Amino acid sequence: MSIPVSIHADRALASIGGEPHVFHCHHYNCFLQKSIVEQAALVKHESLLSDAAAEVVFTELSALGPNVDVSALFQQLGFGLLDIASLTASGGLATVRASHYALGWKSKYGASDAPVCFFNSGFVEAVARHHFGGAYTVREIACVACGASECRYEVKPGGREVLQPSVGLGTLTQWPPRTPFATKTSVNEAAIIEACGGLPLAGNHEGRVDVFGVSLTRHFANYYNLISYRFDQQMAASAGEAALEATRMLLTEAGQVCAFHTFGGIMESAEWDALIKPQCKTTEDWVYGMVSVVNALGWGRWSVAALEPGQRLELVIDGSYESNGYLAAFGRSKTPRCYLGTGGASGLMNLIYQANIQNRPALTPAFYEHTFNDGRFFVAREIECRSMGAEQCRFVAERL
Amino acid sequence: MTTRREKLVGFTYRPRGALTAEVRKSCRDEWKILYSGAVFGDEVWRRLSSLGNTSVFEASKLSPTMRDLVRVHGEGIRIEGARNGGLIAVFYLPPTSMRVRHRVEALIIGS
Repeated sequence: MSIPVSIHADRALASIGGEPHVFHCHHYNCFLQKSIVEQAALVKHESLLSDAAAEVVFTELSALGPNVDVSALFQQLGFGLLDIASLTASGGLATVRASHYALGWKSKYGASDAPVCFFNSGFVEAVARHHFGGAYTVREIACVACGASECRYEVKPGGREVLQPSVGLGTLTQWPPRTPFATKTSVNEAAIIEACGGLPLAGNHEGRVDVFGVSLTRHFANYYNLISYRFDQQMAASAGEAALEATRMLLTEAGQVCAFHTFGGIMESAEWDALIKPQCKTTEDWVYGMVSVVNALGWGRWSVAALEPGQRLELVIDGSYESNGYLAAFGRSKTPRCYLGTGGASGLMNLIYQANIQNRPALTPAFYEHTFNDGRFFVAREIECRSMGAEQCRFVAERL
Repeated sequence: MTTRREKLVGFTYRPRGALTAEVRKSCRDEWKILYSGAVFGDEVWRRLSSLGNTSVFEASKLSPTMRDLVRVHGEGIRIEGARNGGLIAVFYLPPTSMRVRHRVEALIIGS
C-alpha cells in the first residue's frame, strides 16, 4: 500500500506527513556521507548522521499516525526492504535487504571496513520510538557494504529522551514572478514536470527507484539540511574558521558530484531521450531541459535568469529546500547556505559546456577529475541567499 | 561486478551496421549496455516485448514534442528507450549469460 505524497506544485515541493521529500541518487547520498565520515577526528559522524535521520523520520511517522506501514514507506522511498517483525518493546533486531546506502557505497567506493547505513539506523530508531514509545538506540551490526548478506540493526531501549522535532516544510515565502529569460527556450517545462510525475517514482519490489538511469531515493530534505548544517557547526566548533571554509567547499563539492552524476545520468537516460531531448533545438535548451527536470524533483523552483552560451549562467532558486530548512531550523545566516544549489549550478554548466554531455560520455571518476581539473572549468558562487535575508537564492557559474 | 566485467566497462562494439553498443556500469553494479546509432521504431519494440512485460508511458499525449517511453521487464533484464528514439538502455541483472545479451541484440537488429 503506498503512502500518499502531497505535491505542492506552486512551491515545487513534495511532502509526506508534512515533511518535505526530494529526489537524490546514491552518488550524492554516499559522497555527502563520506565527506562527513572522513572528518571523524573532528565531528561525531555516527550520531550526526543517525540522529538527524531519527528526528525527521520520527516527526513524519508521528504525523502519519500509529497505523502507518513503516516498511512500505521505507520501500516506497527507495531505501530497500525493511523487516521489523522481530522488534518488541524490549528491543531486538531489524534487517534491511538491498539497502540503498550499502549497495550504493559498494558500487561507488568498494567494500567498507565499517557499516555505512547510518540513515537506516536512524530510521529504525524512529520506528521503535513510534511503535513502542520511549527511547531506543540502534547500532548496525552487519552491513552489506562490509560483505554481509543483509544489513542488521540491533535495537536497545535507552538513549535520548526526546528527539528534536523536524521543521517540516520550513520557512516559506511568496515568490516574485519569473523573468522572461526563464522561458526563453523551446523546452516545455510544464509538460516535462507533468511527464516526470507519470514516471514510476515509488520503490519497486526491491525497494529501488530506477528512473532516469540512476537509483534514486525520495529522501527527507531536512535530513540533508540537518547533517550539512550540523556538520559545519561541529567543524567550526572543533577547528575554527579555517575548517569551516573547508567544510563549505566539501558540501559544495557534494552538490557538484550530485550534478555530475545525477544530472549527467539523467541526460544520458532513456527518459531524457524520450521526454526532453526531442524538445532541445540548441545547446542552451539542454540547460533549460535539465532545470525543468530539477523542478520536478522537489528542490524548489529553479529558473535560468541569464545564460551566456558557454560562458556564464545566472540561476535563481525560489524556495530552495536548503534555505527553507535553514531558516526554520537555524535562523538567519551570515553566509550563503545553498551548497547543493551552488554545486548544481557549476555542475550543470560543466556537463553541458565542458564535458559535452550531449555526446554521452561515460561518467566515470576519472572523467569527473578530468572535467573539473581541465583549465577553464566552471565554478559557481551563491551571490544572494534567502537564509541571509534575500528574496531569492541567486547563483552565478562562470569559467575559472 | 566481477573483475572481468569491470574491465569491459567502457568497451564499445558494433553488433551490426551502424548500431553501436557501449558497456557501462549501472548504479547497482549491473552491466548496462547503451545501444545507439539507429532509430528504434515500433518493430524493434514489438520484438523486444517478447522478452517480458512491457509498459508504455504515452508521453506524446502530454506533448507532441515528446516520445513515448517504453520499458520491458524480463528475466534478468530491464530494457528502456523511446519509441522512435535513438537510445536503448539494457540493464543486465546478474547473473547474466552471454546468451541473453545475444538474444537482446538479435531482437534489436531484427535477425
